[in-house]
Amino acid sequence: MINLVKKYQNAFSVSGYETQLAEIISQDLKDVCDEISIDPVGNVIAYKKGKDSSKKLMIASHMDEIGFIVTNIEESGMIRVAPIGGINPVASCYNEVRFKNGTVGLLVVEDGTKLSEVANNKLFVDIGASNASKAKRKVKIGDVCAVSPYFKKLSPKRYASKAFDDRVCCAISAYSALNCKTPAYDTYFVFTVQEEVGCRGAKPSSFTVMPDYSIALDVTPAPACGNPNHLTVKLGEGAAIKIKDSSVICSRKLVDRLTDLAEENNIKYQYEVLLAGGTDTSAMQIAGSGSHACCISLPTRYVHTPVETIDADDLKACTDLLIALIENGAE
Amino acid sequence: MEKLYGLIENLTSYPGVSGFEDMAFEGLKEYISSLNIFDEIGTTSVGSFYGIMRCGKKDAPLILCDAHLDTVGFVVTEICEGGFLRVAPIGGIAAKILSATEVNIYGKKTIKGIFASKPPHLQEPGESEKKLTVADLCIDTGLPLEELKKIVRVGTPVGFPCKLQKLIGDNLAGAGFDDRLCGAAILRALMMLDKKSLNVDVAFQFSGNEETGYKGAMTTAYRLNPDKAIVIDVTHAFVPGAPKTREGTKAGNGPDICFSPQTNRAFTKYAVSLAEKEEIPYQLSAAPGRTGTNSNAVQTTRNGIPVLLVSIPLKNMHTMSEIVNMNDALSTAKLVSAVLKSL
Repeated sequence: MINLVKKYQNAFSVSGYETQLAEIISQDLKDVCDEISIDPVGNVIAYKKGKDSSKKLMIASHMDEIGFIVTNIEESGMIRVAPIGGINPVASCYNEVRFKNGTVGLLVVEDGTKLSEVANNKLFVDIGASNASKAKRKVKIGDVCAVSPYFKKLSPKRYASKAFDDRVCCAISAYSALNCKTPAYDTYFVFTVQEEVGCRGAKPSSFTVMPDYSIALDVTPAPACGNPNHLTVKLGEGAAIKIKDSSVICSRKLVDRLTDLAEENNIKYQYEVLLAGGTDTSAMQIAGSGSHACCISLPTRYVHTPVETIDADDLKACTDLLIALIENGAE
Repeated sequence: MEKLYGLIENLTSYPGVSGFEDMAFEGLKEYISSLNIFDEIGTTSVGSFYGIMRCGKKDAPLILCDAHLDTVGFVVTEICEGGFLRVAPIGGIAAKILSATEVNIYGKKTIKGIFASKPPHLQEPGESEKKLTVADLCIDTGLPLEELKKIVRVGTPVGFPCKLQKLIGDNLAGAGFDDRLCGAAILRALMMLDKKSLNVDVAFQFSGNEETGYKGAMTTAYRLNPDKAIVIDVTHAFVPGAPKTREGTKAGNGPDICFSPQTNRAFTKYAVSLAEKEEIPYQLSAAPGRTGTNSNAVQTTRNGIPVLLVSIPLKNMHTMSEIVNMNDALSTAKLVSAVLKSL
């Protein structure tokens, strides 16, 4: 499982530029799915036939991660960038970044910027070019970059990495597709694009699938030091069954079903009430005539930083819970 | 008026915090079936209840009447020592109205709670000037922690109970008038009609998830696929201290018909002319941007649907004691009925 996470995490997949990861996931799943396709916006839709084809279950995890797009290359060879998605500028600066073509640079802050003034419009990338023409040989306006892959085992059960949001959930979904028994319903494992910029992949793919039941897989912030934002989940306390976030109030039917499945299978779980932040759950809930939608969240510390931290037991709990739902259905 | 009061009394009796509308389904199904208005009723996965009334004519257009079923409320985020609960708001609720307010906690069984209140004697100087948030407050249940944990979990919904109070001058106070009142007005309108003499089929959607993003309306309208729609919601009736710009809408002056980019101008003008003709009191308002109702969600469903927005003026919106003038609600029912009869 963790190898799958590492493989996906290594792929370049900033919002809008997910083709590399889409290709990898398609290859991984092509032998276990009845049909697999990549739709016009770039979502991977992997279909497994179920025992009861009168119902459809859609599972969404997003392939994209936050990053930066080049807006200007200055005379000095310094590269101005703008954020793609919810960038935390303090967490991002003074990290190594990688462009799609492999060019590596450093994300740095304008000289003389006080810590309290660090903002996205103060950031630029230094790729070591001594002037604009040298820089332009490697990087063009419109190119995108993200923090370079990083993976650290902090302790036997705790891992830190960039872009666990949401590669780790792509891995949960792919692992479940590879290892589940025949699904209860026709099941669509959807790997979505552009979640970080407004769930733009989940919206059309939900209309393609038109699910009866929907499960998003995403990370949710877990507190580390203090809890000023009143987060309800804790790292290491199990799979988080989402009650609400700012984009959705989850289907009670699915919340209760996931609770029962967790109880029956001795899977550690907790409930998530998230006051700020949205997920693909909402897009699936409102497609067409609507679906019963919920989200299995993986508690994660330091979300949207290069050192997102997860717990291996939570990872297993989320995977077990998802597989239990796929195999046993929602009713 | 008695019939309308009976409808309001019944419809406000069900819980139904946004996202938890299924708690109202059983009671609604039983009650609305007993009214014998609809040929078909159903519920959806996004918290909507709907009913369809057919005129029996082939290829009759379908007119949708929308009101929303959900109410504002809370969800439990933490169960604390001493029998207290921390909650997060669902929908727009001003924290300053909550102190010492009674709530229903819809756990394994329904229990009462009261928002804790810090008496003035214990407040620090200047404390009453500070902006309060819901996160600063807690609900007192009076139960020992262990007992409370057996009833309540993180995610349990909490709502205002509705205690109807008849005030003088045909005014009525209670909770959840936004938007159960409008559901009652629609049902009252449909009761005025002889369906066989209509030229249209009528769908009523009591939609879920309005207070949290209009989701019930967009998905149920998608399912029902109407030709035209009338959205009915409450609007702010002017009270002293409210912005001058809201002076145009007053309680007692009749339903508020809204011109907006989020409504259809021709359908709106049609309703105005009909109100004139039928001598139904009405008032006009304009919403240059969003209407803050289901009108946009319905308007942009599928290929687009012409929407008429009619609002009932309401005071104290999103509180325990919302106040409506019953004449406005009855006139709204008459207007909706007149529109449906004329199409």
